[in-house]
Formats: sequence, structure tokens, C-alpha cells
Amino acid sequence: MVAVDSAIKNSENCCFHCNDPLPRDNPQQFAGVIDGSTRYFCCPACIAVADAINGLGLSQYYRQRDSKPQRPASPDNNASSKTENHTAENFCDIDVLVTQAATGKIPFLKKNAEGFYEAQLFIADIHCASCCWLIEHRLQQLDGVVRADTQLNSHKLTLCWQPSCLPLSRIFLALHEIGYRAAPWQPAEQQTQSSAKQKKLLQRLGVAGLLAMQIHMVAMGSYFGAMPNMQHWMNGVALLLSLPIWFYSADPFFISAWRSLKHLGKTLIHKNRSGWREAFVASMDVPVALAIVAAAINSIIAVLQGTDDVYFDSIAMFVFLLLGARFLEARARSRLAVFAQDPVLPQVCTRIRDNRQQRIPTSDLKKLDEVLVKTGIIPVDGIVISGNAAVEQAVITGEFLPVQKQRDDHVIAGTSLVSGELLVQAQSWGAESHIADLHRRMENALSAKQERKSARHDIYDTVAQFFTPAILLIASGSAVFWYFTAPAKALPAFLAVLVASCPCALTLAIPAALTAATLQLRRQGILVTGRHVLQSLPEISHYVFDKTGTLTQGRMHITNTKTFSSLSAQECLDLACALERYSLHPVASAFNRKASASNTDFFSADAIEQVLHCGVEATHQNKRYRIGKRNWVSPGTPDDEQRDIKILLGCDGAALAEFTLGDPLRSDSKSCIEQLNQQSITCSIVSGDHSSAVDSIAAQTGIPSVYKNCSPAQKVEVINSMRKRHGTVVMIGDGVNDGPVLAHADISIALAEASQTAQLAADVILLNNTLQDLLALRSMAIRTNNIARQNLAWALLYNFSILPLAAAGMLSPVSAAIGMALSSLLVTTNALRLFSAGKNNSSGTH
Amino acid sequence: MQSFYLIIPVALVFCGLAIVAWLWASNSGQYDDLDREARRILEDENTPARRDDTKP
Repeated sequence: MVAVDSAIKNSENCCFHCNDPLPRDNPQQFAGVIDGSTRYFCCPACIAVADAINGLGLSQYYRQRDSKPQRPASPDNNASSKTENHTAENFCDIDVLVTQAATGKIPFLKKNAEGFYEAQLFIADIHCASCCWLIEHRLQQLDGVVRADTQLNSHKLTLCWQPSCLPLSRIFLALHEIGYRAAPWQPAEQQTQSSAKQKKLLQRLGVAGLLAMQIHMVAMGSYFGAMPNMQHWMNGVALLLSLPIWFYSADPFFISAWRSLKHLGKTLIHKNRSGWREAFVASMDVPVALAIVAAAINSIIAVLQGTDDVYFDSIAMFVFLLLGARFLEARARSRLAVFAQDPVLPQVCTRIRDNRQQRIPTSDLKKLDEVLVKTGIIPVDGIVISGNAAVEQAVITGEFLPVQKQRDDHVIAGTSLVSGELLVQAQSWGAESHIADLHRRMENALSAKQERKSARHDIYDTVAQFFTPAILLIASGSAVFWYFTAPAKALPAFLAVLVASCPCALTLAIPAALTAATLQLRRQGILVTGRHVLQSLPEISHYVFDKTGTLTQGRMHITNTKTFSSLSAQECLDLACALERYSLHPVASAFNRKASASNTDFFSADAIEQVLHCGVEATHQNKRYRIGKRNWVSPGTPDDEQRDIKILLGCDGAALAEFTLGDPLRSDSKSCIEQLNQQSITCSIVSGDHSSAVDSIAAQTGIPSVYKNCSPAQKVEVINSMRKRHGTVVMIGDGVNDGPVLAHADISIALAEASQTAQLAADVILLNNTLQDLLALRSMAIRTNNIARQNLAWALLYNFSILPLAAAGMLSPVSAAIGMALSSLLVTTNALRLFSAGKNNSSGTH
Repeated sequence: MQSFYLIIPVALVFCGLAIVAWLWASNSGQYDDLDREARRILEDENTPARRDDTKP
């Protein structure tokens, strides 16, 4: 990822590890000694990670790094036996897979020639080169690790180690301690393709660059007429050097030009009148290929005839510049790191057979096997045979309050079990599971969207569409003219026009602007991966928002506290935090974030007990404390069915305090919607939620149109009907269930905390996780379009003003080369203005 | 000037070698991650001692 700043400044009010703001009420609550000086942190997790890094002698990480990490996901793992067991148990699953490595069925593992095991892992939290450094150095400290190599762009860790000496789970734990989550590497097909494509492009570029230098060296002599008697021989050398450029480096242009010509031919034969316009789409490569071929023929004729009209240097420069532009553009839009993960289903599960529990890879399951699920993500789709549990189904419904699952209920792989235990009869898993199907549907929608996009016209296609016929017309016109006046000049004039039309500046005009804008946005934390985004965004006047996690924070927060006893609100909160400490229930997360370091150990871990569907209870000094449902904590109080969740804390049946929990609006949602409205953009909400919370969110943000209670399929319908009404729409969403609808929108935007599926489907990812970036993105898109138009205008002006000279046979190869270089330089410099423009803007928005 | 007849073929040979070296390096994965390698030179190299405290 591109560095945010040359060095992260640790301002006084920010966490030393993750740079998040310190707790407002007591900024020095979490303190630790790092490298001999006292530092302050935002949460216990950050202290734990920083302590581990410091203790391992790797604290130079903090001096080297140039971008901030995310806050570590899980709470500290060495404070309590309960949580540690939990993480260790999770990691042990990976060892089950290692034992299966010999069968060759585990794609991310293999045994190499030296007898070591090699694993390819995905590390989600890598964000700068120092992370790579930290991971590599930490792993090299471990006995049994032979090699560890990390890639920054793809977040891939290639690990070579001896399982006999060091189990993989220990390596996962070591990474977890310094704040990184590891997972098996499962590249999507798109990813493998796109990285292979980029590699080939880079190779062609390198070859073109090396040869272009040689060709220019040879050509320099002829520019100044230094060696008139050796000129012929020099031209021969240049021809030899040019051959690899023509037949290897320039291949992509010829292939793409040939494809669009073939397409044109097909549509002409079938007399498909609407089709022939589309045939020229992406056909900027046709004039490119024409110019290269014309210049090459001209030069070969010149060498054969012993004249000096050679264009070898121009062709080499042209090909090098174009390939360079394409490579940089592809790199700016690279989303390798986002591709890596499919919706992660557990690869190991507990099978019950003959009354025996066995941990096996899910790929070894048979249909109707009985699978025991105790905690975490459910590995299979199936029917509950026995047990009772609370299951959070946010991935499917977007709703993060758990639902109750009992005998004969369906459970879905990928949903997560919060408390309780289930015995499930496996129906489908892995690639056949419901969630994998959801993912596939999204991918289909994505590829359909890509086809739709390529069939649509933007300004570039429009230019390309008339450019090629115009050039061919002028070239043949001048050839015909010369044929009747001076026949010997007809062919040279024809070729000269084609050479002069060489659309170098024209083909650089838009990619240069797009690349500059994309890089600038990336620096600001806005990852643009769709090619069409910047071009079509300014014209879109309708934005559709998902609710949970997009307009709202997507997490439970304590919005109100009422006390009923002599205890203060803070004391009640501390009690509640201590009780909820080990709970996986989404409600508990609201308390965990409030926990202060001092008093979370009020109850010993063994004293706390989770009561299914009710809450948590613990006994301390013969008093029984409970937190949870009202009727359970303090019998006689009615449960309410409101969206705002009210939780009661009680002691021996008497209520101590009531906490109101809700999912509040993001702090910037309202201002963002208001500013969008000012730019005459209309907004709507599409949500899977059915409760009144949707209406209240709509009222708070001032969004008039609301579609609630939508399934993923209904969301797609809503989007399609909006596309009919408004032309094009932008969709902003975050959940796995938003994947298909994101794939259907013209432009889809996901926030950084969105699920992998949503990020995969999105054209834009807002890494800073703020909606304000929507406005920054829009203003950058508008500026980019202006620059692109200026560039196009200049390039066209240049091309058409030298055409008459070429048609008259008055354009020398040297002046053509210089003109081409200068106009390319001009459009590139103009595009670079986007960097500075973005900077001014970003200081205003942050 | 006659020396050019020798120098230029020599340059061609070197250019050919450079291309072969480039393709080899690229194919062996040395250019797969341009972001990381560009910064490696800035990292301190005093590797901390081996220590393995993951063992129970």
C-alpha cells in the first residue's frame, strides 16, 4: 500500500500502537513502557501487542513504519486462561490440516524437495513494508522456521518450516501476539489471472525499455548527422533491435486491434446495425496498431532503399510509453490484497461417529454426517438434530442480533454460534454451501457487469470511434491526390499520414489522468479498482445506502444508562463489563470496549456462567450478579420487543441498572448526506432490517426513500428498478448479503470494515472507513474528468494539425519523433496536476 | 570511426544478455512485489537473536 506519510507522528492524544484516539475520559488509562519510555494506548489489546513486540526486541518496528495498523481485533490473549484456550483451540485446527498435507488435497500446503513443509498464508493486517519486516523477523526467531517471505501487495506469507519441530498453530499464535491474523491462502481465480497479466506486462515493458535505449543511442548519431557514411549500417542495427519490440512487446496492441477488427467484420457481415458502433469500443488500439505497422513498413522500405527516413526510435518510444502507461494504470488499480479471501468457512470440523468426536477437514465429510458445533463459525449447512443455541446470522441477513436455533431448524454455514451447542446433520458444505452459492451469484453478476461496461460508451470510446475512420479517410485521400499528381509519392504520403496520426498523446491522455487520480486517491485512503468509476461518477445523481454498518456503525453501543440503586453509573458499568468479559454475544462487545483495565478481573473466569438466551451470571461473595434479559435478571419486569435493546444488571433479583443499547449513526453520516443533497444528489436506503430503526435512521439523516425488509434478491430488484428510473446508481454497502446488490450497481462502494465479499464486489473501497470520503471521491472524479478532457483536446489538436504536413510529404521522421515526445510530455504533466489538487482538497476534508 | 563496427555488435551482445537476465529475474518472481522490495534497503539489519517463547 502507498505510504500515508513519511513517518507516523505519534501525537499526544493518539494510541502509540494504532494511532486511534486515546480514551477521552482518562487518556492515561492504558500505559506501557516501550523502548524505555512510557507510552499511552487506546485499549488493552494494543498494549498487549506493543508489549509483545517490545519484549521480542523488535521495537524498531515503531521507528520504521510509515502507516498505522488497525486496532488488533481480539482482546489480550495472555490475561486469562479462558480466552487463551479459545484462541489456541482455533489455531489447533490448522494442525489437523497439516497432518493431511501428504495427501496433496490441501491446496495451500506442500512438502518441498528438502523435506520441509511450505505453506502459503494470507495475512489480513499487513499495511506497510514494516509489517513485512516485523513478521519476517518474528518468525525467523522461532526454531523450526526455515524461511519466511512476505509480499506487501498481495499480503501473502510464504513459510517454510518443520512441522515436527514447530506446529503451525504455534506460528499462528506467534503472529497473533504481534497483532496479525493468518489464514490459509485461497486466491480467487481473478487474482491469479490479474497478477499473471501484470507480470507479463512488466516483462514486455522491460524488454521494450532496454531495446529503446539501444535504438535511441544508434538514432542519436543520425539526428546530428555525425556519421553520414555509416548511416545505412546503423539503420540496419536499429532494425534488428526493433524486431523484438514489434513482435514481442507490442503484441497486446496488435492482438486487441485484431480482435476489434474481427468483431467489426462479424457485425458487418451479420448486418447488425446497433452492433457496429460497439465494434469500435476499446478500439483505440486500432490506430495504435496502424501507426506502428505504417511506421515499421516505412522504415523497412527506407533501409532497403538506403534512405534515412526511419522511425525505429519513434516506434520504440511509443511502445515503451504506452506499455508504461498501461502498467502504471493497472498497478494503481491493483486490488490483489482484497482478492485473496473467499468467505472464510472453517476448514476443520468435529464429526461425531460411533459416539466418538473427531476433528477432520470439512472436505472429508460425507452427506448426513453429524457435526458438533460448540463455538465460532458453523462449518456446514444442515439441520439441527439436537441442542439449543444462539446463532448470529449477520452474513446472510445483515442483522447482528442472534436468533435461537433448536431441533429441526436450518443452520447455514458461515453464520456464527454465539452461545450454546448444536449437533447438525450436514447437508452441504464448502463449494456447495449456501454462502458459496451467494458468492458465485455475485461473481456472475460481476462478470455480467463487466460486459455491460465494455458495451457502454465513454468519452474515450467516442473519440476512438471517429478517430480511426477519420485517419483512414485522410490517408487514402492524400494517397489518391498524389496518385493523380505525382504517383511515386502516393504510397509514402499514405504511410506518412498514418505515422503522423500516431495517437501517442491521445492514448496517454486519459490513462495518465486516471492513473494520477487513482494514485492520489489511494494516498488518501480511497482504493479505486474499477476502471469506469472516475469517468462515470460525476454524472450519477442517485446514491443507495445500506443501513447497518454503512450509515450506522454496525456495532452495539451503550446509548443510555439508568441506575436503580446506590451504585453509580460507572460502578454499574464496571460490573457489567466484568460480567460480559468472556461472552461472544454481540451485546457483550458494547461493554468490552468500555472496559477499563483495573476491574475487569472482579469475577474469576470460572465463576462466570453463560445462560443460553438469557444472559450471563456470576457469583461473588455469595451474591449472584446477573446481566441480560429483564425478566430473567429481575423476575416480574416485562421483556420489551423494541429495537433498542434494554439490558438489565441485577444482584440477587434486584435491578441495579438498565443499559440501553443501540446501533448509532456514524458521526459523519448526516453531514455527508446533507452535502450530497447540496450537490443535487438524491439518496435512498435499502436494508434487510425490518424494524422501526430503519425509519428512525432515515429520519435522522433526512433520506426520503426507504426500502426495508429486503432479502439479497429483493435488494437486487430494487437496484435494477432504480437503474431504470435514474439511469445509473451508486450503491454503498458492507455485508456479505450486500455482495450481489453491489455487483449489480453501476458503481459499488464498500467501507474498510465491510466483509470480504462486499469488498470483492466493490469498485471502490473506502479504507479510512468514513463516509466523508464519498465527497472527496466525487470531487476528485470531477477534476479528473476536466483534466482528461483538456488532455484529449490538446492531443487531438496536435494530431490533426500535423496531418496536413504529413499529407504534403513535409514531415521528417525527426520532427515527428520530437513532436510526439513533447505532446506526450504535455498531457502527462497536465495529469500530474491532479496530485497537488488532491492534496489541497484532502487537507480541507480531514 | 571504424571502431564502431566492433563496439556496436559488442553492445548488442550485452543488450541481449541484459534482456535474458531481466526475463530470468522476472520469471523467478523477483519482481512480484515492487512495494516491499523498494523499502527493504531502508530497514535496519541488526536481526534480533533467535528466541522461541511459543513453546509451552
